[in-house]
This record gives sequence, structure tokens and C-alpha cells, in this order.
Amino acid sequence: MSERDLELYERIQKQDKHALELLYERYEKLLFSFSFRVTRRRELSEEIVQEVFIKLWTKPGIYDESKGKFSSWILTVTRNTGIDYLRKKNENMYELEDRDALKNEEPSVEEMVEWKEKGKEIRSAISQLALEQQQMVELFYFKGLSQQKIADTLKIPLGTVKGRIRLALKHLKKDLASAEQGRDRGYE
Amino acid sequence: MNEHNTCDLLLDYFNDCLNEIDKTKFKEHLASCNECQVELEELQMLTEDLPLSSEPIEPNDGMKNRILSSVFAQPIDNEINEQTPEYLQTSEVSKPNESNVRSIGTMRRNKGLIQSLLAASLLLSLSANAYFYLNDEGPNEGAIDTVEEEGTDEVVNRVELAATEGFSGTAQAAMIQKESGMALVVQASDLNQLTGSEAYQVWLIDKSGSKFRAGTFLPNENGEGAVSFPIDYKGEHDWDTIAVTLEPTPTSEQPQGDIILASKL
Ligand SMILES: [Zn+2]
Repeated sequence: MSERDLELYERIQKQDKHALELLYERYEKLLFSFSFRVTRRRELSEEIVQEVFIKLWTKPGIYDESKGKFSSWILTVTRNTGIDYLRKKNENMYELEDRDALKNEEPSVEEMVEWKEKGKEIRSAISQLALEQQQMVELFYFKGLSQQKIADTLKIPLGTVKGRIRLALKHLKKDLASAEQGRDRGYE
Repeated sequence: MNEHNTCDLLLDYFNDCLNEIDKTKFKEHLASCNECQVELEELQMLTEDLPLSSEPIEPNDGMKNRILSSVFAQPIDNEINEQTPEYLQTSEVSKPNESNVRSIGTMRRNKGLIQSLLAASLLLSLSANAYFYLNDEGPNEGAIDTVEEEGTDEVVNRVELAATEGFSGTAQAAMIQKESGMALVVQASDLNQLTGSEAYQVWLIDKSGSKFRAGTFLPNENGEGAVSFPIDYKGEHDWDTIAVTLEPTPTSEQPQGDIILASKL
């Protein structure tokens, strides 16, 4: 998968429009869904995806392998663009989202395999976190708030925010690791 | 935040919430603080999979065509490699792309410029997304006639843009049909100077009311600016209006600022 990404990226560097279109098709739904996860707005999500591809097209050399896996990199760029838009538009930033609003949409067959498998596991792991830890992940990662704003929103001392965020993320990672182990055992 | 512990800025750096001073301060700190380097890497590792938790959502209708046509309408930034920006760092990603904006130095007024642009655009392959600078050594007066006579390229439409109420400025625009496609050339003068990240943007609006970004420009000190862009938006468009807006940043994908100049096509 990442080899294909790299090959397409190389062609995009040479201004191959068809390669950009292919890469777009590979990532459209994931980037759109992630942008929607961050902004909860369709129009804004489209603007974000567009900006990501404009960066990719107009800035030769924006990505190279020293920046890690292409897929992780393009998701990071999407997140940064998304939280930047949120901040500029200053809309509903502090509102905690209704996490159940979209719960029943199952990934369809053609979703990227990794997304389908991991998405379920991560959602399930997040939902098993204590409510406060869920809020930490939401406000810090998906809304990109500063430590000060998180402290204000959740009415907790500023000095404790960093520790709580790290604890929540580590807890999540640990749960995911054991879920993965469990899944591997299940296949045996 | 706490002056005594720069390490505490790490999370705000990750989320790009720092002002310029703190950001610079933290970057310097990061270069020498092993603890923060490890923690930043850990943070990236811990959050790496979180995007995959997003529920799959069907993209908007027609989104692919809209996005690809605006992407391909952008000029390529050829200066990027010299700067080696840290794009993985959250801070650099969303900055306006200053190199997308061409400031034009010396230029002749009115008709002469359109002719220069037109002639210069003949040298460009439309698919190359090229851009160019103008100077006084441009092609001779009368180029516009020559072009029409030669028959390969044709000025399809040429309009004068009038200033809207409360704004100053005039502009000329020409649509040029080339064998390889359509090009749009705009020249403006008597524009107000810009402040901060503001930029002038040219838009094409079709009969259905959809707006397409054609180009961005900054006026020179005499209030003159110009831009030439290929028109290769996907699908058939019946162009209705051309407009120039004053945008808060050069990166607006849809017009957000006031319309300064406009004309029916
Ligand atoms: Zn440190």
C-alpha cells in the first residue's frame, strides 16, 4: 500500500495529473471522513480536503520519506488544516460532540482494509475510556485545543492537563495493543 | 504559560496553539531538550491511529471534480525546495502560500499590459501551470492584433471591469482561446494597497452561480497588478461574471471578501 502511495507521489512531483487523481481516489473518503470527524461540517470538510491536495500539488518536495509513512503524513496535514480552519472560524470549538450521532454507519466493503479493522477497535477502545479521558482525547486531538482552553472547558487545573492527556492517550494505546493481541489469538 | 518550564509548551506546540514568540522559543528549546524530543515522538506515536477512528462518511456530490479542478488551476510553487520547510511540524502547514502570489514589478499601463500578457501567454504551455514575470522588455505594442491575425489563438472575450461602490480601481480581462485550451488574462490598476496577508483574487462565476478561483495577485506600489491563468476546470461552464475580490488571505478557496471589481462576460 505505501509503495503504491510513493509511486503515485513520485509521479505527482512530475506534475502527472492522472497520478494526483488516483491518489485522490485512494484518500478521498478517509480524509473527508476524518475532516468531518474534526469539524462536523460537510462543506468545511470539502474545503479541508481541497486544501490538502492543493498543498500536495503545488508544493513539490512537501513530502519525503524522512517524514514517515505517507498515509500518516497526509492525515497529519489533514488534521492540522482542519483544526486551523476550526480555529479561524471559531465555531463550536468547545462543544463536546455527540459521539453517538453517527454510530450506526458500518464501513462498506470497499473501505481501506486497515481503516475498517482499526477503526472499530479504536472506537471501541475510546468508548471504554473513562468519560474524562474520552473528553481529553476529543478536545486535545480532534479539536486541537490549547491546554488552557481544555482546563477552562473541563474546569480542571491547568497544571494537570498535560498529565491527564498523556494518561488518556497511553491508556488508549494499551487497550488497543491488548485488543490486537486478543484478535491475533482469536485467529489461531 | 509558566515561564520557568518551557517543556510545558510541548502540547500547545503539537496543536499549533503558540504565538510566534513562544513557538520560536519552544523550537529552540526542543533542539536541545532530549525529554521533549522523546515526548513529541511519543505523542506522534500515540495519536498515529486516531484518524482511523473516524466513521466513514460519503463525500459530497461532485466533490472530486470540484476539488481536482481547483487543484489543477493552482500555479506550482517552484521555490519550495530551497526552503525545506518542516511540514510535519504542525505550525507550518496552514500558512498562506506566499509563493502562489505573484507581485508584478514594473509594468506599462492599460492596453500595453494586456498585450504583454497575451503575448507572454503564447509562450506557455497551458498544462505546465507556468507563471511568469513581466518587464518593460515585453513584446511590442500591437501584439493583440497580430495574435488574432495569425489565427491560432483568439481573444474570445474582452471586458472592462468596473469598481463597485466604495472601492477604487479598474481592470481589463481577456479570455484567450488557444489550441490547448482557454486562458484568462487580467490586468488591474488604481487598486488600493493591501495590508497584512490580504490579497486580490480573480474569480470566474458560471451561470449556475458556482465560483471558481482563477488567480491571486498583489498590486505593486502604483496599485497595478496582473495575472494569467489557464482555465481548465472540469466540465462545461457557461461563464457569466468575472470578479475581483479583496481576500483576507491569498488562500481563500471561495470568496470571503468584498467584490472590488466586476463585469459580465
Ligand atoms: Zn523540554
